[in-house]
Amino acid sequence: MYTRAMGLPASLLTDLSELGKAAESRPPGEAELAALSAKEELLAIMAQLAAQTARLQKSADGILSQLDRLAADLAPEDLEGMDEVVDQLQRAEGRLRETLANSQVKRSRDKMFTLRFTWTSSEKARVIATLDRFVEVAKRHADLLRDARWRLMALRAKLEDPGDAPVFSDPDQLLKYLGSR
Amino acid sequence: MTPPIRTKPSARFIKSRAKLGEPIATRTDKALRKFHESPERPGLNFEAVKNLAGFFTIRVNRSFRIMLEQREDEDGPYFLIVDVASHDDTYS
Repeated sequence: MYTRAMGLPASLLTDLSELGKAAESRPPGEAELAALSAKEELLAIMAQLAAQTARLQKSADGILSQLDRLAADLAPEDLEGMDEVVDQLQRAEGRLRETLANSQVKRSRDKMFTLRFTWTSSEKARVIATLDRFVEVAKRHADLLRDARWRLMALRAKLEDPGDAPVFSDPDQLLKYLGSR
Repeated sequence: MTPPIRTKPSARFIKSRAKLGEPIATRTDKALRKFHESPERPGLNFEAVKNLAGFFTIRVNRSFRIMLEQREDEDGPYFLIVDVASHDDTYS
């Protein structure tokens, strides 16, 4: 049995919160990379990226199992708070896709080849591999956020009143009706 | 003979469509017309939502989709038009 908060299972909200935080994770920017020079900084950046990647994976695993449980144990009070959670998921997905679309990661990656780093080729290759891994996980995570949002939208539809619009078999009548709304 | 597709717009869908405005509203209408005329048309990408029986989506454009739920009334099966929302496929 769930403990519920805002209508939704509290454990789901915890996972969603973690999901949002993980989606805000950013790889190091151009300026940060440009300022690096020491091996300690290289190791720090690797650790940071590895932690972000692990965080994304952990929150992704959690959210999927939580959604399965919610679908199996849906209660009317779950409707309360669903709009807000759907909005949260959409914002988190948007931020993550923005990061990927802005090519911040790609620029950081390209800089590894051109900056006056004193790092060896092997060290650069390790950072590039870690960046690539982050991108791969981030893309999967963005899709997961999207799919989680759509599943919640479907669960919400099971609980809420669909309204009093008629059923249409003629598309012209449907579009005319929609145009009048 | 295949029975005609029947749809019912939900209150939420009507609200979302109005909120999104143009050009998405018009594209949404076009997708619904195509769905009524020929749901199996490849460009519509009519497909089931994973792990949720009775729910389907159709494509509006690269960034938006419409969610449908199969229901039934005294006249037979129909699709509730649940919502229209962003569904970014850019990185899929």
